[in-house]
Amino acid sequence: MASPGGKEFLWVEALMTGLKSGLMTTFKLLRVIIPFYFLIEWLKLTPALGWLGHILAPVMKIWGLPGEAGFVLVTGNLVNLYAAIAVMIPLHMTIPQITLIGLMLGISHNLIVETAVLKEAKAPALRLALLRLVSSGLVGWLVSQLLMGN
Amino acid sequence: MSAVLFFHSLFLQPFIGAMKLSLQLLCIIVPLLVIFELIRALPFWKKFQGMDKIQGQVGRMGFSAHTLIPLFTGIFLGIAYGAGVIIKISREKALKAPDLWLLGLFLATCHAVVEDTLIFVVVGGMGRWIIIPRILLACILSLALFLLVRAQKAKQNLS
Repeated sequence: MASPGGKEFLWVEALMTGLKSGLMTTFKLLRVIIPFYFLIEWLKLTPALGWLGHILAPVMKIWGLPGEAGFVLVTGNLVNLYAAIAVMIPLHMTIPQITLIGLMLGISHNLIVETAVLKEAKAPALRLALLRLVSSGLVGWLVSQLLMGN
Repeated sequence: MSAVLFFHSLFLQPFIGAMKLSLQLLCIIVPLLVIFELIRALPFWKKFQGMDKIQGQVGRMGFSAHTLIPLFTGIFLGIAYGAGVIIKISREKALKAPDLWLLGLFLATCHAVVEDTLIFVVVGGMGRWIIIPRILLACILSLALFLLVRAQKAKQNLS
């Protein structure tokens, strides 16, 4: 049992800090998810999404993904993973497709913000960003062969 | 009737979808943040205080005892969360180029593996296919760079 004011394990404080950052994350999440979700749902009512998907289809075929998955990958790399998921859900992907997108975006995402952070830390940020994009494509291709056998 | 339908498909349906998705993600993220803070408050971390260098691979990569919590943050939650701390490490420690490469490479390829994986699992992804290839990739790349730096040092010592 911790003594009052003891320094052993401040679990109440930790709990409060966790909940507070949870609340902050909630606002961050809603600010990204609502606009991207609406954007895709509205675009779905127009032919634009189909056209763009058609253009991207030959490229996305490398990973066995539909052309529309290109929007998810671009959003994840330029904005963040929450935005990418908000784009992905209205597009109704299959489980292997969601898995593959999760893997590829896990390796390479949020490049604008994270490159700025690494640059500030004086790491070779641009080369690292390029490395992430390339390895995302390579690992994604490898796993797509295993996962979808295409 | 068509006005109702119009409102439904244009506003109500996307709004409900966005709210449902946000709720799903928050059910993962909020407990994760609380668990993270609880782990961080554990007395276990005190053991490393005052130690200048830590043993093993983590120590050899240039991570001192002070950087253990930031490193844990980076792996658990990500660069955006650990940004301030990562920048602070590199300033305070004045890391040399190979160490900085290694730190950058490790964090660039292998961060937020817990959070990122979970948020894709919530929407239907298969977790092991997301997390295992990522960790393997980070280990292979870090090892490759480590060997490269060592080979280069050996070459410099010869000449």
